Amino acid sequence: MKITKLSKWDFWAYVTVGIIITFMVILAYPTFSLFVSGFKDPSSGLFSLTNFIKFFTKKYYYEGLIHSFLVSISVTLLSVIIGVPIGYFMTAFKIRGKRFLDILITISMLSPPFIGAYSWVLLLGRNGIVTNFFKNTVGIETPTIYGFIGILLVFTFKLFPYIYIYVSGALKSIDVSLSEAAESLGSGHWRTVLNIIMPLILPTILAGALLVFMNSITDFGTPMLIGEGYRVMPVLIYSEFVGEVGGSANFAAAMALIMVVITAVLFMMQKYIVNRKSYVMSSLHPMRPKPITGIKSFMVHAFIYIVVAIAIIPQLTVIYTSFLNTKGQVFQKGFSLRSYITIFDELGLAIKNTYEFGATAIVIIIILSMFIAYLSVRKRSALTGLIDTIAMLPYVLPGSVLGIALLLAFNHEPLILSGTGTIIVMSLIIRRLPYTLRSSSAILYQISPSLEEASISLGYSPAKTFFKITARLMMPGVISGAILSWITAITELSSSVILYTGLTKTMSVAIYTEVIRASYGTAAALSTILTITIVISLLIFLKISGDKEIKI
Amino acid sequence: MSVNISIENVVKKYGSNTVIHNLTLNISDGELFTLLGPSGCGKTTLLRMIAGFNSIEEGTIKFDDRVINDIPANKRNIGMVFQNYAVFPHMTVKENVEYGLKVRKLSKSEIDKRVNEMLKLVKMQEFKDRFPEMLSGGQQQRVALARAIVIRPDVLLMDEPLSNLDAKLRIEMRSAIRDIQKEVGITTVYVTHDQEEALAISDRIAVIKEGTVQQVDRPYNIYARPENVFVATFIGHSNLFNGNILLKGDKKLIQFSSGYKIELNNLPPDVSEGQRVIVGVRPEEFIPADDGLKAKIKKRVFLGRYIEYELLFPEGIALPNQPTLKFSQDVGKTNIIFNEGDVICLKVNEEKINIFTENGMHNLVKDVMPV
Repeated sequence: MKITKLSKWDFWAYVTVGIIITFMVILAYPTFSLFVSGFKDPSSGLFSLTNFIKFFTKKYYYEGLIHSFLVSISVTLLSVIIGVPIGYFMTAFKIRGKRFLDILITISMLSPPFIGAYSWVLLLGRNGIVTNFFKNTVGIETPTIYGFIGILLVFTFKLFPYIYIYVSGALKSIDVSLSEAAESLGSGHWRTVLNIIMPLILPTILAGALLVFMNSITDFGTPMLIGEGYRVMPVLIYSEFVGEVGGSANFAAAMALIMVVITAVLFMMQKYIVNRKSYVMSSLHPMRPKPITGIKSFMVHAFIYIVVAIAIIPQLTVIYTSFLNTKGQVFQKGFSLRSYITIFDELGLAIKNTYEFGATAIVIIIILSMFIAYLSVRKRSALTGLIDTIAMLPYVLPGSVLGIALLLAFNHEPLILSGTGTIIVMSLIIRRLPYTLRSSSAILYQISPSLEEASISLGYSPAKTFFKITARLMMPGVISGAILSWITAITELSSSVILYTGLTKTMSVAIYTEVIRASYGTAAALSTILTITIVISLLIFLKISGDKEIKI
Repeated sequence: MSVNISIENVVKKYGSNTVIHNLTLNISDGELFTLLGPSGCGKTTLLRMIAGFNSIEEGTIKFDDRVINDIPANKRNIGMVFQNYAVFPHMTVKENVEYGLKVRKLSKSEIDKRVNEMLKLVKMQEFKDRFPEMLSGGQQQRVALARAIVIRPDVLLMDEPLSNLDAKLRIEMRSAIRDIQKEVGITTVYVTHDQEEALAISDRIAVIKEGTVQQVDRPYNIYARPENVFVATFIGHSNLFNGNILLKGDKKLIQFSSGYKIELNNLPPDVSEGQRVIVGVRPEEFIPADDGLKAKIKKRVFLGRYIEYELLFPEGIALPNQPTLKFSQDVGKTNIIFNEGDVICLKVNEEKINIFTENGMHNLVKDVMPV
């Protein structure tokens, strides 16, 4: 590839510089602030390792790290145990209602994580529907949902879809002739699965597992709502940062840095596996689902339907709860729209903010993604490589860490943004850029550079060519990525909860605060609005991408 | 309109790797000039330097007297046709063709007039409202050609335009391109690795190997009198034999290592007695006879118009490391068909064969037959 010389000040040189400046301000500077803060002694203000020493010597803190690992490892294992068979069954066998199941699985995966936690509380919590039913009618005390078990339950049923999607994607790339060859050589069905198919998809499972691990170790909402006393890292960081009891920003920053190191290692492992994973396979004849009958069919269907039902229960619970009649915060008999009336009266601003911030962020994400994708795919050089790498940074910055970094950077001169909508939009852009960026790059690889050259040779400048030809052709990929960015942006909690003020509250934050003050009806109504938005966005996504699956 | 292209001492480097070495070529106004060579020889690189998509490290490229080195690609007024057609998929045939005219700020009526003329020329007027996905490869390439010519470029550049088409369509399209190019009369640089295509379509051909020009000439001359052993074997097939020159009075003879001698009257005066040479004989330049070079038939392939025999010569006669040695027999002119395993004698056609210097770098035979 040709090294782009900046001596020629063409359109793309300006774009490169523009993007570098943007990244410096919204990414590099906050990350740098986080570093400075984490290594600063809170009392003396000098550069030291005090914070880290404190973390690793006090059980209260380092236990959070152990908890985080315990939770994430367990969740990852459970997700693999559930996700791999479902992936295999759904690809290898004819499953009734597959299309519908796929949509349910996708919805449960894309729904805000904390909604799962909160509706399990509604069901199995101290005053939960199921708990009360067993206590009052049957007279049995159900085991507590709070703590480790609850976190595990919520995460597993929210994150197994990643494994499912990865595995079924990988299975589709295996040519059926491979397993036919094995079977013609005398290998039985399950033996073939074990000896031929599993080794081929193992790297994919590993990559998916790391993604699950990464998601569960960085999530804040779930452990906060259902974990109660069970401290994990994101909760510790949050409470240390905003804590009423002598919280220390420096100490929180130090813990955030520890998290960044962990996620960076995970991210590199994931990338390494993904890069190495590709066994070159020519899938001329992908696996065709075979009909199954009898007890086998019953078992397979039962397994899939039960798992999907558990995964989708939180959504249904929330929708059901939102229509319950309430008086203040207490549920009454019968149904009403009172929760909705309340939220439009009292939390209309949060609804407006959510869509406004989300939409603003998406517009900027789309512009940035298209430019960055173009630079990194078409104008490969040391500089654009750097941009591409920096654009990956959001993958290793957990939401709460990013929130802290932004706040540390922009709560003082020269740029005071704390408390504004701008800082929230900023966090959304950073957190959700990768989805759009990746799908933009992916589609650009499919567009032949000679189309652009044809346009240039016909007399259009590189800039005009980009807008008239390249951008137009990139659109389907950009839009489908942008919808994923949008869905995840409007459900963002972990950074917003650190950055919000009364005026910049979003629906996610409002749900969180409503749950904390036990106003379950309003929280449910807000969640329902979010869920409906997600479902509509998802349908648009499926229409545009024409794909039956979501690629993560 | 059409221009003369002079490429003077041009160098292209990728890092420390030099792809084009000090290359000089002159392409005349209105001619269809082909850059022919194996893949990776630098022909496409050179084309893209003319187009403005590759930078020029040293030397100059001129359109008439205008140096174009620093003119950006979109200001060079070139038409380009690509291997993968590069027809814009989101535009109809008509929109594709008028795309280049729109940026030139022509009046609506002028645009329509030119587009219609052009679509007629490439025989695509009935498809003008179709989208490219509904067109065949050949039709798409016609659209691409129309789109490139309609802007009345100074130069038309074609980068392996036929290599994505199937064999039958390729032959049809190459004569269409040839006809349209002659009708429009535009200076055209055509890149291909297909020698038959190059021979069929070009006014002149430059054979390129590893970034250097091996020979520039008309198609017939390239085939009949290749400048060196590379050209002789790259264009068509040549069987190579060891030989040396014998001088007998004012007669010049070539002796093969088997002792077989022939007299040549087209060798230059400065050859010397005993000078070692390489004799290049094309498969059709062998004539079965009672004496000559003895060869065993290893394999026979019937090809319809021709029968191709793979030959085995005694050790030391032919140059080592040749993939195959071939004799092709014109079925229309022969009554005897040989069998595998037969040992036959072959004379060579003295007027047609080529004699190269021992290092294979030059052809000693200079005469050129009129076409």
